[in-house]
Amino acid sequence: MARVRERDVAAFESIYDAYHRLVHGIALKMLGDPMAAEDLTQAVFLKLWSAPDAFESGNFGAWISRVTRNRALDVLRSRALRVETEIPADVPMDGSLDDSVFATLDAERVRVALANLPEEQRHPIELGFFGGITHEEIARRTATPLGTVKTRIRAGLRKLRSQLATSVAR
Amino acid sequence: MNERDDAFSESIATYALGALPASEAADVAAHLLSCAACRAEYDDLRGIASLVGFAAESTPSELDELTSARMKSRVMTAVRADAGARANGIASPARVAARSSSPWFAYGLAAAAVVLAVFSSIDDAALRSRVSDQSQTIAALQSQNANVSALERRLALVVAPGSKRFPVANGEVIESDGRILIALSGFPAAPSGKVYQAWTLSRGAKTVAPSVTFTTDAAGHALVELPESAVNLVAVAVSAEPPGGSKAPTSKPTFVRTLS
Repeated sequence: MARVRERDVAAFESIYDAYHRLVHGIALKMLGDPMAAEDLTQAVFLKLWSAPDAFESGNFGAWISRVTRNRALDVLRSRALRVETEIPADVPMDGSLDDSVFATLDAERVRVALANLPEEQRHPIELGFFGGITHEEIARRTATPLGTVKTRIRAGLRKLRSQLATSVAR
Repeated sequence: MNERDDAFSESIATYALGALPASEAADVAAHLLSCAACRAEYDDLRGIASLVGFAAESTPSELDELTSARMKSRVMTAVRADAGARANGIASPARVAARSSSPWFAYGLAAAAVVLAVFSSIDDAALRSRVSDQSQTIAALQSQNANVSALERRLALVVAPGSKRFPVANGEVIESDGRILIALSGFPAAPSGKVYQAWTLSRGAKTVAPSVTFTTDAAGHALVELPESAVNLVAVAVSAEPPGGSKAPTSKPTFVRTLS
């Protein structure tokens, strides 16, 4: 990213090659529309080129995932068809996700770790991240008390951290 | 951690995941400013919550090589144009584009940046004119290509094995590969000053939700793909509405079709 900040097109292209499937995948899963996913992917990378200082340090993949999710939420908010469901608030972006343990994590390890979570924890986490819905909607869709949804999300995220830490240490 | 912290602690992971409504998120954010223990919990979970996105990385079947190459070409063309403009000290709309909250608007302006960058390096008026003509031709072809691709995709869904067809007057509602399409032929034109709007009814919902607006051609043809996933939809309806659509139907539905 240091070279991208110096407007190095080749460095930017390398980052695009490495992360465009991640950005596109999140956009596609959240928007459910291939054309909108393409547009969002392009917008995220043009934004990265335009304002590379927005990323400061840490796991770049995690950071750009969050950027993509927040922009997908913007698109969902702009769609009149979602008037019946509240879109959750963005998680603030502060440019840094300082977690060097996971700096080299790849998608496959995350997929495996998520798959290993109990269904009751994995489902609300995936709905919360990709569904663009609030915990209240998650509770309604899963017919689960609100407090239980929160408890399961917390337990699931903690277990995910533990599993990934073990995976990275191997 | 005191009693008040306990009240927030259950919400912190949900906040880190980004699944709290705005009002509750504001309360948690305010609490994090004054509670070191909760902030530590938040910092610990926020990074791991962001990693959840990794699970969605597109596979080659979800993002084929052709589409991937087309996307990359668009992004890199805009970036190279912007880099060239920066090198020449010329302001580029690509920077404005990336600041826009609308990705579609952003892409449009980025494309404009490409044209501007080309112009900035050419002094000869005749050459500029030729480039202008060619740029307009390329833009028109790209637009046609996008329209053809979208139509091909809809047609592929219509004829896909396993698609379910639900007849309506002068057409069908089709469920295919998790998508919903409305195929119409000989459908009456929308009343003057109105367009058609699709509506969806989800399982358990008491009211329909607004979907896309559309018009038919002179022969009453239309092939419309709804942006909603077919999952949990139990009915689709169409009614005539003002241009831009309505939040709730304002006229008697032209048809209502249950998906069963």
